[in-house]
Amino acid sequence: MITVKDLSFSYGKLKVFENFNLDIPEGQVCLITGINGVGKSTLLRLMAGVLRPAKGEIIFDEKLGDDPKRKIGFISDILSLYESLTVSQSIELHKSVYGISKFDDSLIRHTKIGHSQKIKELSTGQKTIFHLSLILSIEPEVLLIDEIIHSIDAYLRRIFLEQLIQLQSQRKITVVMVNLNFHDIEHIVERVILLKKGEVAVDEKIDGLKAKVKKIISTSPPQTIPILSQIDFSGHSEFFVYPFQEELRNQIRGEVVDLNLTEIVSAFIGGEYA
Amino acid sequence: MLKKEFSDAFKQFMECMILLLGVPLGVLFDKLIIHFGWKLSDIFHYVFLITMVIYPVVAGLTVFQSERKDRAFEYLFSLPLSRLEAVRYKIAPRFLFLLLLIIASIFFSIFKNIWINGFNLIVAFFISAFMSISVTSFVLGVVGVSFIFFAYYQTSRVIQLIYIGWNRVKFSDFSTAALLSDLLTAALLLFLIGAAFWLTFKNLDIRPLKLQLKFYYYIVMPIILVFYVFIILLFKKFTERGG
Repeated sequence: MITVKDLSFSYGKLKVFENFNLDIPEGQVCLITGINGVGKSTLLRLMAGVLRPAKGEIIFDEKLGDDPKRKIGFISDILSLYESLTVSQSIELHKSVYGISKFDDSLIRHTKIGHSQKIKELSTGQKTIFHLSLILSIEPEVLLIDEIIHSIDAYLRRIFLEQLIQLQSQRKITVVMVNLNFHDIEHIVERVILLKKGEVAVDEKIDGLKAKVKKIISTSPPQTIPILSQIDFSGHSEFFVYPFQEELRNQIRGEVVDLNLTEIVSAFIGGEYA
Repeated sequence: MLKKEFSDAFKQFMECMILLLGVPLGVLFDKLIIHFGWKLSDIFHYVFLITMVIYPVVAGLTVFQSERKDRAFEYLFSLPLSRLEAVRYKIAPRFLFLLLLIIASIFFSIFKNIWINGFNLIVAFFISAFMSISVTSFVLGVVGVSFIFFAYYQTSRVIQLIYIGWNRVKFSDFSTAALLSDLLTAALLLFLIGAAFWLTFKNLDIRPLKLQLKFYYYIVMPIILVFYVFIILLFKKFTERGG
């Protein structure tokens, strides 16, 4: 669905990507993560077309037609909208640009957003839900969501994720998310891509990743498996290892613990700061 | 932090001072009305003239104001609009209002024997609109527009003088020669500045503007310089002839 081909991009002298390649198939829910400043949001913005690559290209499936932007929904972390417009004016603008006649406002009514309210008067959560309802109105094939879910309250987050799950199950859309808080989205994500210095450091399906990243609680480091990061306690240490192989389990002195997605990504990110 | 707070406090202070200035200006205006015995129609006339001068510059310089203020460039660029459509949508309504103002000024000129050069207002509008991409301070924008508009105006006068054979007696702001020289100068200047604007906007994204405006300045600055050199050299020649 999305092919990133030989992409190069920089902010002035600061090089972010050089000959970067990535392929995201149709219908996949993909999580892009990495330490701050690694280029996660930049990659998403390049996919959304709000940043232009210096070299290379981002190719979308022919299914999206001549103008892929018509079928791409993008929610950025800054929630960019015309703040001085009212909700109804924003809806009208959106309808006229995308050429849509109907707009389902049930989601915004559900979250107590008034049509006459100005966008700047909305809370971050309300703005996120409003942005999502704008995007849903275009029936997107690709959804790009920047680090925003964790900044909204639990109730609105649930609504947001319910909509996402519903959309995904009904229409099998492609979702690319950038996030650092994985607790809520663990059950949705199929693939995890970890960026490091402008390159893909880890690219795994979530089940594969859970099988390969483990925590070993021991007094001494494991000899046969690479350590991503470690936390020392008095008397013992926790070693986060990757790639773990099941056949080595018997050789390890200590307890092998399974990890959830948040812990896995923290282990990778912790390794980068070490 | 202190620098930011100092700057904010200074801005507030200046805004208050402007408000304070309003009172003596109002009193002064009242005294002028009494002193010169102005009628309501006179006052309307002057206010209209001032509006005519201000509107094209304000309308042009604020083309991207909402995107800047609301940080909505990202939203604008995420929409399925070509850059040409985006520019058209931004400029067309403002241009339409300017045309309405010019038409109103034509009707107004029937009752008052003062002509407003609508063509120059259109030129001022487009100079401002093409500068809007590079201007973050409105005051600096007005200075920049005035500087470029002066280059246009004086170049046009010089071309007219060349056309009519350096004859000051024949010189008029509302002659065919003036119209032709205005057209020629405006076409040349607006084409070049417009090209710089378009080539920059076509490739514009949400990176900081200062990273993306080099090309714009590389085109606009030499153009203005050439216009000023042209004016100075030919006016020098004009004065040497004893004009």
